[in-house]
Amino acid sequence: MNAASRSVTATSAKKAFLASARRVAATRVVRTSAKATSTFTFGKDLQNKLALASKTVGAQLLLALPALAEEAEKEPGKLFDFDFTLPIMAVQFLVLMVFLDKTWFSPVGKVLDDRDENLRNILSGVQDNTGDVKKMEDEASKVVADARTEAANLITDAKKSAETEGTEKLAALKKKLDAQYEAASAQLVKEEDDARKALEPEIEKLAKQIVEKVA
Amino acid sequence: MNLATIASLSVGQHLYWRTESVAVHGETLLTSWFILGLLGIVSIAGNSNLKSIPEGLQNVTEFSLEFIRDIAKTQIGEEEHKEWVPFIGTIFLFIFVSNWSGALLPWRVIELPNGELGAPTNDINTTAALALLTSIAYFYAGIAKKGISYFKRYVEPAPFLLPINVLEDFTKPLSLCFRLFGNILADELVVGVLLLLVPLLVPVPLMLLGLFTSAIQALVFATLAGAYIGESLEDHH
Repeated sequence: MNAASRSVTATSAKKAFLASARRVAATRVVRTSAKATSTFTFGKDLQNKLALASKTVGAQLLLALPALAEEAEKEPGKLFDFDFTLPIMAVQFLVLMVFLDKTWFSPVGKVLDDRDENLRNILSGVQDNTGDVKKMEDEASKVVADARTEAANLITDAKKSAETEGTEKLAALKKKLDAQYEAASAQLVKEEDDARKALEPEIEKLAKQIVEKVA
Repeated sequence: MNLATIASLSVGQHLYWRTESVAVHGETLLTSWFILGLLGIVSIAGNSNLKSIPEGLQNVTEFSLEFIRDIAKTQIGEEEHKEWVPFIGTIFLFIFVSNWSGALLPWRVIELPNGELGAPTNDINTTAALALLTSIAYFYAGIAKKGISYFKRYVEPAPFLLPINVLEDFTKPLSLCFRLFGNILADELVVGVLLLLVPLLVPVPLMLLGLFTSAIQALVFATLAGAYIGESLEDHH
């Protein structure tokens, strides 16, 4: 179909060309027309081949996309086709904006702001705590120092009391021992005296016997 | 011949819904409703039960809000950015989800009588609507803050710059509109043509690039909207 229509246009073009050529230079008509015919036959061959190629490629694409092929028959596309879609889109956009503001930007924004403020409060609270910590540290060191002095006092007291107790005990022991010694020595003297007293008549008796024997 | 015809087929084809006086692009509205619904569902599901320690979807919504607030804060400034967060945020979320839906969802599987489904942002009406709203927003921001003296900025820093300053009010929405439209349409076309030619593996790098550009374009649109609003809120002396 394509090739046939093209050959028709080609032949008509040829006729026109021939007429003009005849008018311009009648003597060179034969040569020119011969040349033109050869060009046209070559051109026709090429056209036939191209038509065949485009038909086969086109047929494949047409098989793949029947829907698109149908559209080829329809009105030419309008790229910059402004119509009532524009105001509708604008209104839709404004509706979407109000809707998203109500359900998204405002409530989520509030959550974000609240969280920010909360964190800021917590952070400032942490900064305030540094004073507290210092105070507590001072207190703790004071308590430790107090405890140290108290412990030292206790130790010295204990040492002192232990010392006095020890000396007291020692003195008491010494007294006791002295008393025992006294008692023991007194008893010894007494026993010596007793023994001497007991021995005195015997000694006298023995002396009398010695004197009698001697005498 | 046929190849080029098929590759360029989807360009500018629309599913027209007509009433007696007006026509609208059905495929753009359908996908935009899908995106509106998706954002609505995410918003309700993620933010219906907010906790001080986030869980699940709340992480996503909080992260995106922080991201949006950051954009607004850097472009508009610490004091005045809060009231513009909804506008910039909606621009960012709508464009981002639209672009990614075009790049990730197989819209073309659903056949329409004419045209094909795709990202709403590959229709010039959508991007023009967003760009015009941005223009209105920055005019509103400036006039609400400074009143009539807002228009002094046209003769600043020097009166001979007046034509350029006036021109800027036209170039801003135009560039916003065509940048987004062109990027998204071009990306979808490149991927579409490559899919026609080599429907295996070869388009994948370009698809990934498309995901990247889609995200960048959403960021660029939101950032520029913020910058324009910030510019008109700025104090001139």
